[in-house]
Order: sequence, then C-alpha cells, then structure tokens
Amino acid sequence: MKTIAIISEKGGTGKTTSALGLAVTAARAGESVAVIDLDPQANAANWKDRRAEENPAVVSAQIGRLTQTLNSARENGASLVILDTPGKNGSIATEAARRSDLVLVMTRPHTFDMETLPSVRDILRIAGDPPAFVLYNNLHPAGNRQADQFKGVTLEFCGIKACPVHLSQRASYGEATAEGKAAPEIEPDGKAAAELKALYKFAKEIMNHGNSNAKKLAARA
Amino acid sequence: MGTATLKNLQRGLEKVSGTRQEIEKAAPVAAPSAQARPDRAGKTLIGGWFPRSYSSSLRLIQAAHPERTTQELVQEALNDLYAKYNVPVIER
Repeated sequence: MKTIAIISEKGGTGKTTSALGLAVTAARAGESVAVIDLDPQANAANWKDRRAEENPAVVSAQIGRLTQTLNSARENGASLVILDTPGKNGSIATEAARRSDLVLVMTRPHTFDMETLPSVRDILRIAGDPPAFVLYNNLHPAGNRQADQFKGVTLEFCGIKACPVHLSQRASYGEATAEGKAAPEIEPDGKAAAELKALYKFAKEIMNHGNSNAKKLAARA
Repeated sequence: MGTATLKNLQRGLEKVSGTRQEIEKAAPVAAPSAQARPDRAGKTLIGGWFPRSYSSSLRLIQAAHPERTTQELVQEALNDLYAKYNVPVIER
C-alpha cells in the first residue's frame, strides 16, 4: 500500500479537489483507493455522501486516529491511500507527511500562496524529508510558459522540487465535485482528466522507483 | 478489486476512525486570538452565568453613571472583593 499526502499551509489551494481527482484517476486505473479526510471541514467525506460509486472509499478521521485508520486501509485491501489535510495546520501536515511515500504541496501561482512554501519546507524537514514536490494548481489553461517559469524557480525559492505536472483552471473540476464525481468521470477524454492522469503516472513513478525515473518523466512532461 | 471488498474497505475505515458526528464534535474551534484583538493581548476572561436580575442591577448603575462601561464596573466589583478577602487589589 502506498500513501500520498496532500498538504499546504494555505486554505483554498485546491487540496481536496485534487485529492479526489487523483483518487478517482487511480481508481479508474484499477487501484483500490482510500481517501482519509483529516480536515475537520470534511469536504471530501461530504463529497462521498453525494456519490454512488464505491471506489474510492472515503473516511473522515482525526489525526490521533491516523495510525489505526491506515492499518485498517491496509488490512482491507487498499492499494493507495490519499491523505487530505486542512490548510494552515502544521501539526496535521507534519504527521500526514511523516506517514507518506510522497507529499504533494499544493500551491496556486500567487504570492500569498507561494510565500507559505518556505514554512512547508520546515514541516517536511520535521517529517523526516519524505519525497515531496510542489504541485502548481489553478494555472491559466494556456499558461504553459508561466508554469515553466514557476517550476524553474521553485527549488531555489523554497527548497522543494516542483512537480513536472501542473493542474489548470478548468470548469470541470468544480462542476464534477458538486455532483459527487471527479473531472475524469464527467469528461473522460477532457484536459482535466489528462492532467490528472499525468499526475497519477508521475506519483506512481516516484513511489515505485524514486527520483531517477521521475527525472525522465519530468523531461517528457 | 470487487465491490464487496471496497464495501469492506469503507466499513473498515469507518470502524476505526469513529462516526462523522464524533469527529465533528471533537473538531477544535479556533479561539479568537490576541492577534485578532490586540486590545486583549496579555488579558484573560473572567466570566460567570448569573440570574437576569444581576444584569438589571448593573444596568441601573449604568443608568446613573452612563460613562461607566460594564468592563469598568466588573473591575471595580472585583477589586472590592479582593479588598474584602485581603488579597492584592489591582491598580488600574
């Protein structure tokens, strides 16, 4: 069983939407996915209430029960666990990062979001430096050049590598969650589905083979 | 992975993590911070629940002394109490 934590020190960066999009993408690729919603707002768990499909399983949990919840996911056959965390809660983010094979640090390409990244670096250090990447979200759909510029300076700016895949501003992300679905389910051949698939592929590569293959993937992305 | 197994996964997760109601009940509510109210920095709240008549009598004092706030009157009352019990009275 592999575990991905999605963290940020800022609310509204798209953690839950991305966590659910990634979970559904993994489920469509044949994985048995569990989303553990560590945010007391419980948006992911509420999404599950609107949903008919069994995969992913979603549960709202307190951070103090994370060990037991992860054990239960393993015992019940989950192959991938995604930890969705609240914004601006360093202790939950640290604990989630500590238990993960990969940490995705969500940020939008805005100053207010990005100035929190150096403190995320500290969180990762306390968590024992798990493999971590800054995942840019909400970029302009035609903003590939802008994305490249941000990715190019990320490591120097905050000490965390940039994920070669980024997510864009697309209506399907919001529309899908309203009906308990994720973007790939309402537009399987859409651009949101494609970027989530690329993100899933990158995440699998990092978790299975570490950084060396990810570099090749990064070159291709 | 079959539907039955995924149902077990969902049930297994719910069993260990507690029900939604338990979690919502335990969710911490952010206290108003001294940062949000700089005038409260270094201060503490002393409060209690009293019959309405306590509040009415306080308002009667304020009717005669409209310049005195509730805060000031409670402060005066506490200092009177401290004097009675021979503990340090706080300088304003």
